[in-house]
Amino acid sequence: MEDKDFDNIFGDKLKKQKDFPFSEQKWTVLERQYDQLLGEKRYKRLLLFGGISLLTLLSSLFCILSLLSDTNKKLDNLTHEIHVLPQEKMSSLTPSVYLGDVPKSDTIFHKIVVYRYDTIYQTVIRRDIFQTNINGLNNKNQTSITENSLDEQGNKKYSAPKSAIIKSDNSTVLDKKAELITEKGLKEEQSISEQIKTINNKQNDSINLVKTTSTAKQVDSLSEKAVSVKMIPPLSINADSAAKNGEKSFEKELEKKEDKKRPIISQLKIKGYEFGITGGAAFINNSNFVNQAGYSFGLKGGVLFGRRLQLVGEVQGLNLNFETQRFSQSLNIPPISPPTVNDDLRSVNASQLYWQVALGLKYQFRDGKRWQPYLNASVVGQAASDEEFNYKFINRLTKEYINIKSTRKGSEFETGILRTSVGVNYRIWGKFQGFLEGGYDFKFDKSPRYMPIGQVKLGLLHRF
Amino acid sequence: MTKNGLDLIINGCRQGDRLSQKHLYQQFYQYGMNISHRYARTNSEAEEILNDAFLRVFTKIEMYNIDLPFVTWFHTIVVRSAINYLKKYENKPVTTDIEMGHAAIIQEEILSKMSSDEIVALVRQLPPSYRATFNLSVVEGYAHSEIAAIMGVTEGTARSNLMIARQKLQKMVSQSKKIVEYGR
Repeated sequence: MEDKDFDNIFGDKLKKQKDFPFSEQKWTVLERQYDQLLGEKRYKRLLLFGGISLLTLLSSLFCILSLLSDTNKKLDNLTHEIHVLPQEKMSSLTPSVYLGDVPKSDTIFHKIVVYRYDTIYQTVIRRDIFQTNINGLNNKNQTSITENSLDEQGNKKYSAPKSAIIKSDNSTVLDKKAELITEKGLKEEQSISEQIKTINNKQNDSINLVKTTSTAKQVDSLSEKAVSVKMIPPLSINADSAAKNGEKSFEKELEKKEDKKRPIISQLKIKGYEFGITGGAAFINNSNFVNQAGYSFGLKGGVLFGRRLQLVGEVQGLNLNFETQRFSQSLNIPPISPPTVNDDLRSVNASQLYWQVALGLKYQFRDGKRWQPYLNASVVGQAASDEEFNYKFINRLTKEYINIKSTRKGSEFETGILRTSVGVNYRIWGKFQGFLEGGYDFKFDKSPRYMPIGQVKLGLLHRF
Repeated sequence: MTKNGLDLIINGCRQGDRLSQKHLYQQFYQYGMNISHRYARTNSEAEEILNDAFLRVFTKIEMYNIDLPFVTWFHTIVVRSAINYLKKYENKPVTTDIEMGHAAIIQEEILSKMSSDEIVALVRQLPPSYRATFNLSVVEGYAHSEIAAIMGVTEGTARSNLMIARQKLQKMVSQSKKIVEYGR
C-alpha cells in the first residue's frame, strides 16, 4: 500500500464529523476565562494609554520649556541693551509708561481718541476741496461743478459739492433698485403662488412614498428579528458545506449591496451619544513670554451620525499663567506707570481664566477599530473672568523690588474663534474610550484681547 | 445559518455583546471540536484548545474581514490554537533525523474497515509534534514548507516527522490487525 493511499484513507476518516453536544456549563467555563482575560487586558491597556499620554505630555512640556528658555535668553540680551541706553532716551522711548504716578489698568480710552482724530481729519480735507472749487482754481472738479451750476440755473450760483450730488444720485439709484427688487419679489411671489399647488401635490406623493417605504422597512426589521430568534438553537455545521454556503450567500449579499445605494440622509441617522471628561495642558502662542504654564479641564459630549461623523460639543475652563518682561499689545497686558521715575519694569505675572464653549464636527477614520484617528473643526465662544496681574519693578538706584497688583474685569462673551484639532480615540474597554488630542484656537479678525491658544488634551468618554 | 444571521452575530461580537458571543460559541462549538479533537490527546484537551481559539476569536474579531467567509478564518484560528497548545504544554524539541525504518505492510481492506473513532484513537497515540505534523499534512493539506513555518522547525524536520508519524501509524494498524486475528 502506497503512502498516498494510506494518507487519503486516514484523511477521509479523520475528516468525518463527530457529535459533540453543546452544554451551558462549557459556555460558563469559557465566559469565566474570557472575563479573566478582559481584566488583564484592561489593566494593560490602561497602562499603555497612560504611558503614551504621559510621554506625549512630557515631550510637549519639554518643547515648550526649551522654546521659552531660548526666548528668555534673547530677552536677557535685549534688557541688557536697554539698560545701556541713557535715562532720558528711555523716557522718550516709552511715554505711555511715564504718564503719571497713579497706576492705570486700562488703555482702551487711548485707542478711541486716535479713531476720532482720523474722522475729523477726513472732513477737513473735503471742505478744502469744495472751497478751492468756488475760488475758481484750475481743476477738473471745479470745471465740472461750474458747468453743472450753469446748466441747471444759468448763473454763477452756489452749487452743492460733487460728493453731495453723487450721494443724491446714489440714493435715487438705490431707491430704484429697491423698487426693482420689490417688483421682482412680487413677481416671484406670484410665480410661487402659482406653483404652490403643484408642490403640494408632489409633497403628498412623496409622503405616500415615505409611508410605503417605512412599512417596507418595518417588515424587513421584523424579518431580521425572526432570523435572530432562529439563531438561538445550536446547529451542526459541516465545514465544507458551511464554507460553500458562506461564499454563495456572500456573493448574493454583495450583489444586493451593489444594487442598494442607501441615501445619505439615512446614513446620517443618530447612532448614539457619548459623554465624558477632558483635561490637559494649554499654552499661548507668543514669543514674548519668559515663562508660562496652563491647564484645561472640562466636559465633552457628542452625537454620532453614522459611523464616522459626529457633532461635538465641549465646555471647558482654561487657566493660563505666564510671565513677561515687557509690555506689548500682543500680550494683552495693561501697561502701568512705575511708582517712581527711577523704577524699571522687571517682570509681569499674569493669571487668566477663560470659559470656553465649542461646537463642531468630528470625522473619524478606521471605523470599528480600537485606534481611531480623527479630525475636528469647531467654532468656539469664550469669556474671560477677572484677570490678575502682578507687576514687579526694580529701583535703579537702591536696587529694591516693588510689587504692584492689578486686576482687570473679565471680558464679555466673544465668538468667532476657530479650533482645529487632531486626535486619536482608543477603545479601552466596552463602551469606554480614551482620547488624546492636540488642538489650536485662532481668530481671523485681530481682537485686542485675544491670543491664539494651543492645547494638548486627554479624556475619557462613555458611549451610550 | 444565513449569512445575515452570522453577520449580526459577528457585529454583536465586535461590540462586545455577550449574548452574540454565546450564540457564536453555540454555532461553532461542534465544528471547532471536530478540528481540535484531532490534535488533542483527550476530549478535555480538545475543549481547552477550542476555548483558547474562541478567546482569540472574541479578542481579535476586529481583525476579521467581514467580506471573507468566517468559517475559514475560524478554522485557521482553531488550528493555530492547537499548534500553540502543543508547543506550550507538550512540545519537546524534535531532533529526529530521517530514519529509514521498515514500513509495515498493511492491507487496504483492513484500513478501510476501521471506523473513524479507531483512526482518531490511533492518531491520538502519536507524540504531539508527529500528531500535529500528520494532521497538518494529511487533513489540512499544508505543504512541507508551510508545516515547517507553522511548527517552527526546518523543512527537513517537518518531512521526517511526517514520515515517522506515518510509519508509527502503519505499525499501530498492523498490530491492531494481529490483535484482531489472534482474537479470532
